[in-house]
Amino acid sequence: MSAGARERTGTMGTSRITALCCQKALYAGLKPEEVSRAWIEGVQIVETPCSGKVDPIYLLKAFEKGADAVVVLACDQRLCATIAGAKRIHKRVERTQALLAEAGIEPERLVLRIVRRPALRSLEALFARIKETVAALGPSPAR
Amino acid sequence: MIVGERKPFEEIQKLLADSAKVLLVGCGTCVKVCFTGGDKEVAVLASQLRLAAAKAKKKKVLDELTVERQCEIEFVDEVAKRLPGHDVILSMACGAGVQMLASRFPEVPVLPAVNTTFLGVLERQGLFVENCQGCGACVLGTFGGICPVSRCAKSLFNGPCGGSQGGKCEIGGDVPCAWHQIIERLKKLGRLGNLKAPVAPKDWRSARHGGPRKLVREDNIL
Repeated sequence: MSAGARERTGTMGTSRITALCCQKALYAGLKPEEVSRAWIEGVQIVETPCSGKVDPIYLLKAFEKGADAVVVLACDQRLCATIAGAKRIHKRVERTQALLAEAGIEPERLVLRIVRRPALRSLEALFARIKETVAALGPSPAR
Repeated sequence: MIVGERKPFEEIQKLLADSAKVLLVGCGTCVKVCFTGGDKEVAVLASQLRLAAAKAKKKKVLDELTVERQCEIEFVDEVAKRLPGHDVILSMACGAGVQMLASRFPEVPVLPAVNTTFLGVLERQGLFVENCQGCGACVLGTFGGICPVSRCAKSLFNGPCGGSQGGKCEIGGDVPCAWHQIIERLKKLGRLGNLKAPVAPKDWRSARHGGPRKLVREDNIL
């Protein structure tokens, strides 16, 4: 995976969210000078070359490392630059939700968001609702 | 390949209820191909078990190792280096691999995480189907490459039966009638003559019915 993890320090006290974001979903169409590091308070953003790179084990590991919620940001399937990457992620997220449920973790803690590129400008709004869901669920029972 | 499915999670948790330090051992051959027991599946199961243990506030150590094949002793020997300190092995191999581990490491319980189901092929992406039962007396040459032993519900050698309707087997579930397939295939090959004379009833002694089988290759033994 590309080493693009960004995290704002000192503000992870309440809910912890890990977001695995397709780089193209975040930045496609932006000029180089418009691209800034993606960060949202309380969210650890991990950039991936495509959402198709995201395997169930990455999502489970994020929960093992203490995430209260895990978000995957992916492009619309019709826009996926690797053709089938964004198609794969839907079924992988579904499967991982089932694996979480087996382990006694609420599957709604894993969220897939299909975004219009570039998502960078709307990250605050994107994560606002997710943060509400996480607040309602409380900290992960595996924490 | 040998195909298997991971056991229900609850059943695996019950198997490991009294174990504090578990070594999960995967297999890099058949069960990896059917996405059941390879390195990725070992990682996923270990992660699930850790999450479940954390939720239950239980201490459970889960270590992971995948060997090339659990059905060959030289690969199984690799487990010896990692085993000390673990009180149980959870194998994600087929039944043959589980038993190989158990006989190599008789001092440690070896538990199965997989239900071994059948010998088969990957028919298309994501679909594994049974097509061989290891009967020990292959007749695929007579039947156009379609096995009546494994693919006919009744294992008929002189089919089809009266239950064959529209190319489907009477057991339902959209199962194709193997005999319909055999006849169509032999027609295409111009070998319908194979079915002219009745085929003798199968001698099942070469199959599992005759007891556990073995193969000895003296030319390979030093």
